[in-house]
Amino acid sequence: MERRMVVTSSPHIKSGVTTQRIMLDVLIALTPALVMSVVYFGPMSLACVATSVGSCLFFEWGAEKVFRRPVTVRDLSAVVTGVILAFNLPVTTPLWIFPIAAFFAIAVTKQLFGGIGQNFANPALVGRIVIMLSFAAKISSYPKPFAWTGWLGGVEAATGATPLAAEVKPGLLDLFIGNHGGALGEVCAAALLLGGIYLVIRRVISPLVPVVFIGTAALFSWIFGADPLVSILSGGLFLGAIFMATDYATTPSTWPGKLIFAVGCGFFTALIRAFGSYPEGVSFAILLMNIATPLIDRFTRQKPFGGEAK
Amino acid sequence: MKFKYVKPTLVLLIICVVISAALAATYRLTYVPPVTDPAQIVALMADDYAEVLPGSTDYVLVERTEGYEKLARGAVVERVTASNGCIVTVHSSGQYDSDPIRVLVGVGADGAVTGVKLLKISETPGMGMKTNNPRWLAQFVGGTSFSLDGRTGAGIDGVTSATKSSRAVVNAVNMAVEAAAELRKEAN
Amino acid sequence: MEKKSIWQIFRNGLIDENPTFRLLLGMCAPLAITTSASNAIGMGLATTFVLVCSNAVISALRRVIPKEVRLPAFITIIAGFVTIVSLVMQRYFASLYDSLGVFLELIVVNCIILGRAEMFASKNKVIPSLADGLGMGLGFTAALLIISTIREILGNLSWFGFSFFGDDVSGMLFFILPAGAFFVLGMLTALMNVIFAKKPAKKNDAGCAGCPGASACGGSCDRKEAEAK
Repeated sequence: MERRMVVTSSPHIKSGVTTQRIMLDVLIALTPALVMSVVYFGPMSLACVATSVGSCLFFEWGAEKVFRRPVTVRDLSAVVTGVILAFNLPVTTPLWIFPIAAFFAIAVTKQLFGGIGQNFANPALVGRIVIMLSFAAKISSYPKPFAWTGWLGGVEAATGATPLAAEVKPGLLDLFIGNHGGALGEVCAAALLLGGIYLVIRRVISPLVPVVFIGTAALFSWIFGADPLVSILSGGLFLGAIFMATDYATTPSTWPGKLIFAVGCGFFTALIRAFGSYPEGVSFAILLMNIATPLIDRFTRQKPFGGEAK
Repeated sequence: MKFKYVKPTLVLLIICVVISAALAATYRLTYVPPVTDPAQIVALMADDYAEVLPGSTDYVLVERTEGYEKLARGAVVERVTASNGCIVTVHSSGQYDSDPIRVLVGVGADGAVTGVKLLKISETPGMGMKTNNPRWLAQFVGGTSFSLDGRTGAGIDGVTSATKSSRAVVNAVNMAVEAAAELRKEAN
Repeated sequence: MEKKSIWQIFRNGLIDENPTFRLLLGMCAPLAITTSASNAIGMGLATTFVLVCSNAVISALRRVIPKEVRLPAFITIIAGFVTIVSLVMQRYFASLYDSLGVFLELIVVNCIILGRAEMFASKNKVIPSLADGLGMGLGFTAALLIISTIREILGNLSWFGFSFFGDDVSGMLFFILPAGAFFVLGMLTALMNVIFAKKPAKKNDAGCAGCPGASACGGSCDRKEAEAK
């Protein structure tokens, strides 16, 4: 007898939103920055991104096989991690560093803790921080833009410090369009902003966290004595605020929580930049707030519908 | 009622006495009296002295801090004059405040450094210990004043991830050069 | 709880209840001292010596030391042996003494030693206690050796101070840092548990058979019952 009634549990209303669709949107949002990275640093940046993405995909597939979980490579989350990871490092990074970063990002931070949605911190961030701690010397030669030659050209030896560490800061317009030294994807604030606007229009992220993050960072940089506009356009702030601080799994779930999260990120970024021994504070600030997220969630718990507030 | 405290106290007392006796015995057996005779000190250290001040003879121990082994961070602990210069030993705090680095510096008659050797260093292997590299220490030879950022003296490349240890050695060498200059003034 | 043979007791400390990876006791040394393999071995052997001696003495005195003062007595005995090791090492192994620094004296508060004194030596005869001390100590040393090998090779590209590629090349510094220590320790603990974890004891057994701490204390409850009868 054929089945007349099908009884299943919720949800019964489906929207078209899948992880894959969201990830695809993020990739589209990252494209302007990718294009600009090729313009500034040459085709080598594509090699870097490709290596990073390839390694991330490999470790995602490998880890899921080892843990006997279904392989979710199709959902493109590893691709997004790979791109963001590459964006956090300079184009002069030796290619063998990307697989190591990918291991710590995907296999350790994400898969070891249970797969997508279970990571305790942003995977690309952890990967970048481990590399920063391990190979500080190898990833600190930031080439000047337009210093590349040829199709497979590496960069000529003209390196300069990032604006954060430089004595003479580039002008505001240069900072905005990315005409200065820095990591692959962090230089062009304009391109990242474009991507961010796209994501807001597509309802993938809300503008709350990025805006508050950047605003708080500007405020505290000014309090700590730096030029706020120069500060927010330097370093990886836009990349972090738009693409890493908005990760669903590692940020608080409620609006008050997200607010606290964004303020914390901005504050620590400015603090580390002003008083810490590292020129860049965004990575550590976001990581710190990622780890604090369960605590923030606990204190900003919403009252259950009809229930008593604790 | 009182008697129940007697046995535990007595047992504990006996254990303490026995252990103290054992410790006293071990201490006696492993005790090495510190060398105080200047001639003996110089004889023991002659090889190290020759390493940092090549071609030197006639070492004269001018001054050595009491209780040398255990103390004085950021201080000169020993000064020795030789035929063609002086040798100064400095204790400097590296990564751990409890274990200073002992730096031996040879300074020629012209006031320039002739050699640096780390006599005792217990920093983290792979980080602070990397300052104990002859090629790194050779950077000091020929100069009279050093700093990590090149601002207040000849620039010394710090060792990656060993900032505190590098700074300790740089400070030590600077202090040694000053002490050597004083020694030369005293001699004249 | 059947009586364990000497060999079983020894093997227990080495593998089944390895103090670092299974019991998670005495974790300061595995995290702090394991940046170089030679330091790790030195520390491990020093701890083993103290553990064996203190286990033996405490076991020999187990009927003499009253319950009320057993902790002060244990600690005094342990501290005595650590001081002896420290004095001897200062005299004959000066460079190791320098490298270990303050961590040598910290062996006194290493939980393994006090833990085994409390859980095993004070309840068992001397020979089994010696075996337990030796097993646990060597298990601890083996753990330190494994962790430090990984950290030194990956972090410094050397092993026992012998550099693979010369002095100027450095490895992945992360493993030398404290974060790397926790990481390596965590991964190894997970690995060891996957390989060696025993099935959990069935809950309905009365007495030592159903108690998860039975293997650690040597089945003392059953024995006390048998003695009381």
